[in-house]
Amino acid sequence: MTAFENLDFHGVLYKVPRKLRAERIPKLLKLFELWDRRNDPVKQFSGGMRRRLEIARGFLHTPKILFLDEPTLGLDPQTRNQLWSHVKQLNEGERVTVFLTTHYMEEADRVAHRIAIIDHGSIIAQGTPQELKQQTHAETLEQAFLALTGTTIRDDDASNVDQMRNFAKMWTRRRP
Amino acid sequence: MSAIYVMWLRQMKRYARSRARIIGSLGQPLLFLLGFGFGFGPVFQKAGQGNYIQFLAPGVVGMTILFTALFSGIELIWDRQFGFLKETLVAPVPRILIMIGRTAGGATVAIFQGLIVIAICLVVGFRP
Repeated sequence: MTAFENLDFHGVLYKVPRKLRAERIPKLLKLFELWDRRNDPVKQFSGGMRRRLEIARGFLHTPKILFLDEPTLGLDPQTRNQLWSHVKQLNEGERVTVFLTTHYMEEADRVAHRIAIIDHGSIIAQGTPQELKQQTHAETLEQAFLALTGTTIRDDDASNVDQMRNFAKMWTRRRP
Repeated sequence: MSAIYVMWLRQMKRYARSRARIIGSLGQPLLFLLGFGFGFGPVFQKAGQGNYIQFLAPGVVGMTILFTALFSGIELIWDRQFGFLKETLVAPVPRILIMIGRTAGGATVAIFQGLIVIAICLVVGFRP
């Protein structure tokens, strides 16, 4: 499916009325700079474009909270910056609460208003970036994170599903 | 209702856009029709059973429809692999509608494929 059809498809599934769809999809495509590519199949898109499309899709039904699970994983700096400026714009312009997870501390420091640090499946600290830094007397959030969680590396076992995914990845190259 | 329609529409679009798939899935019925049809035809006639193509064509059409339908089931696994299935399952529509939509889409694709094979059968000499 093309980018436009993809958005339309999700709009129907999320019960966005036809009129609103016709109005919102072009707006979102323009906002995420995908308007020129609206009639290209999504399978030809790069990772960053796909991520942008996914987030545009998330906004189609105007949620009050947007959940992002490691939105910048594997993106280049340009796309990453663009993505954050879009998300910030939506956060400040449309008053959408954004809930995100990330592994990059400088990113969290830059974009987040409140941060919770999770270690071994439970929240061990939360507060604004300043609070966290003051709490641990650290210069950067990265140091604060290390001070809170220690420096040993976490070894999570891959679950069966992950193993199956890896196996499938070895056999297939393309994504539809 | 609209959920059924978009699921169906998606299957249609995927079918219409994958020319390779349409041509590729015609290979097997063609093999049966031309290879077996013209190969076994004379033997069948000698045994006194009449025209072999008349006997073979409905079976080939039926088999094509069955195989195409089977393929739309396999596509479900692909969708699962790429997370598309999850995307549709978390959407606020009843899951039964998603299932019906997919099934209708797969069935329609199978019918189209069957019609193409019927056309080929008519070309090689099948007279219903």
